[in-house]
Amino acid sequence: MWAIIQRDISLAFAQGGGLLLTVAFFLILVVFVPFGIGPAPTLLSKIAPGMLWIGALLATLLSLDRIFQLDFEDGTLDALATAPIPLTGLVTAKALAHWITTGLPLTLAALPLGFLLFLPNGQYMWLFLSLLIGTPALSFIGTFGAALTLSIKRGGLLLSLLVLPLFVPTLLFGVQAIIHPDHTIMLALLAVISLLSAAVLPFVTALALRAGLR
Amino acid sequence: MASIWQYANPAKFMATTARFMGPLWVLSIATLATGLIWGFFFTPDDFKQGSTVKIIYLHVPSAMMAINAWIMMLVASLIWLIRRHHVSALAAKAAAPIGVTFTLIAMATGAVWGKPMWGTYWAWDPRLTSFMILLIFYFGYIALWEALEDKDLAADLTSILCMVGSVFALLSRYAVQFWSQGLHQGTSIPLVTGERQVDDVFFIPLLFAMGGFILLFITLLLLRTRTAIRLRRIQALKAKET
Amino acid sequence: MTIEVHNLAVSRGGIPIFADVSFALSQGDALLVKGPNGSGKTTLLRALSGLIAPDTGTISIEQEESVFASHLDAIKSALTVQQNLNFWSKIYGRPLDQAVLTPFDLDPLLDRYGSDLSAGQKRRLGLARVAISGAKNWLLDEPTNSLDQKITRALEALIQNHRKNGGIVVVSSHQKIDLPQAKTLDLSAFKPSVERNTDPFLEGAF
Repeated sequence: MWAIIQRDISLAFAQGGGLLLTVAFFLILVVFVPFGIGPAPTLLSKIAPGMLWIGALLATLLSLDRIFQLDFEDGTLDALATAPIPLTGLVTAKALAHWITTGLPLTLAALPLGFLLFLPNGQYMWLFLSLLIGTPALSFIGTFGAALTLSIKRGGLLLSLLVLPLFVPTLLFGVQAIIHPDHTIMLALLAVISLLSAAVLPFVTALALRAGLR
Repeated sequence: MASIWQYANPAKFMATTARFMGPLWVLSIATLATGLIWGFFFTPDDFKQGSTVKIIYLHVPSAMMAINAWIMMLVASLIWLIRRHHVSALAAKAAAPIGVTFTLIAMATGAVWGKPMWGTYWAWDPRLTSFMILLIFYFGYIALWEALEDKDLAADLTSILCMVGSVFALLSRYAVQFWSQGLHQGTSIPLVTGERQVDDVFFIPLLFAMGGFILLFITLLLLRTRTAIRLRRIQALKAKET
Repeated sequence: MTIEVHNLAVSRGGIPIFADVSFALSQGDALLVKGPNGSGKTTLLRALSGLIAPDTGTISIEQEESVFASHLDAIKSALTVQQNLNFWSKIYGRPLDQAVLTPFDLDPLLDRYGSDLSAGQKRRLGLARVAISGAKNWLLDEPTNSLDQKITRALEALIQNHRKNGGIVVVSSHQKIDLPQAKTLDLSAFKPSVERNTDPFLEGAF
């Protein structure tokens, strides 16, 4: 499993790896918010938590079809699926690697981007914590979606349609964890979503992957 | 050999359902017409809501069936995953567009009712939002069916999606309650307590309307499943020839 | 340690590919799978490696002791040859043994990126993964495609060596590959009859 995580991380940093693309996309989304709704700091600071979460979510979406597609196209996925490692382990490693190369950089990038949207000072810590706790759910759900659309050529748009409704609870609790007066309860609920996704989804994802590789 | 699973065989299913289609059509239209005509024309106006309340005879049954259609898809999906009965997979596929229609009817009638009551066609109320999310789940499910060429693979993957989607739809249903206070009134017929908020005068025609919607769903579902089975047979025959 | 296949029938997307295939291989055996395109060579190998479930019949094979090489080479183009080899050695939990790699003549290529390899070089790297895996059963799909004479000879020698050590090799190929005392299986002889009915939607009348 570590070998897969390590390899995926070095692939993400390698040429065409997409790590920078994801963060750059996040930056552009955030920069576009004032273009769309105007530069007034009061309004921006009010919608900043939601916009940062939606930006992180969309940037995650962009990176999902890489999770299995490249390995599928060059035959690596066949080889890994027949190697003596459990498929659930492979899926978990893939999701963790995706989080390390997407969720974690987006969490870190959100802090300076919060500055651009005049995020209230007291919310930085909660923004950081909610993204840190919430983005793993996005990676595990996204890995599930990627496995579902594995055998579909140019399935990127479909992948978005399938995955976005599954992101709803994560987004709701993620933003509530920043703006709700009782931050910790919302963080706990967010953690429940992440843990549930990490504990259960790999099995279902392995099932979908097994079907897709037939 | 009197097992329920024998109907999972396409030929047996076709033969059995063929006998029920006519009576089912008659029964569902009769029940639905009774409920709606009684409800619309022979019930008194509500003392508070006036005649607008009568949209309840479309709104409540369609909302109920929008959710029940998804639950039926979930059950059919599980039957496919566990017992691999092809008819079951096709029934799940056939139910989705009916579910979409019920969801749209529920949302449209809700909007028409909401305007005079709340002063707005739409609000981000937990219930309304949940229906919007349900609608997106239906769209994703249908799109996945359409995107996959291999029918068994499509049945597998859509069943898995239906399973996971159900869990996340439920999570969303509870998540939206933390996120917004509702305008929507509580359920009119709480199953748990059995205490009805609705007077018999309104309730009996409502029961007819609900029964009519259930029967209509079953009729449409069988019709669509039968069509899907015929379509699969045509494809199989074509594949055999090449 | 054997591979036994009994009355195997496999279909893809509801269309039967082959039926009634039976064979048994024991230590040191090789099976050469032949047949025109579409006769199911790849399907048979994928079924043996556990990726496809059979319609009917049985496959008895030790899955953990098998390695499958598809016609794709499982090479990451953004990684060097060395990095690719290291990855697979970690996945299979086997050290990178120089002796295993010599026949593939990869030494001069170690620092090249996967994207810079020719088709033949890629195939050599892909087969090196098979050697690294240390698995007893080699399931090779069209391994000689895009290999020149010299490397084909090296591959043949490698397969012979593997068999001598008690391994089993199943090779699909429509090119010439020389495997002494190999059994052959011509899949064109196992085309399912038109009457064969695997699709439940063809049963009965309606």
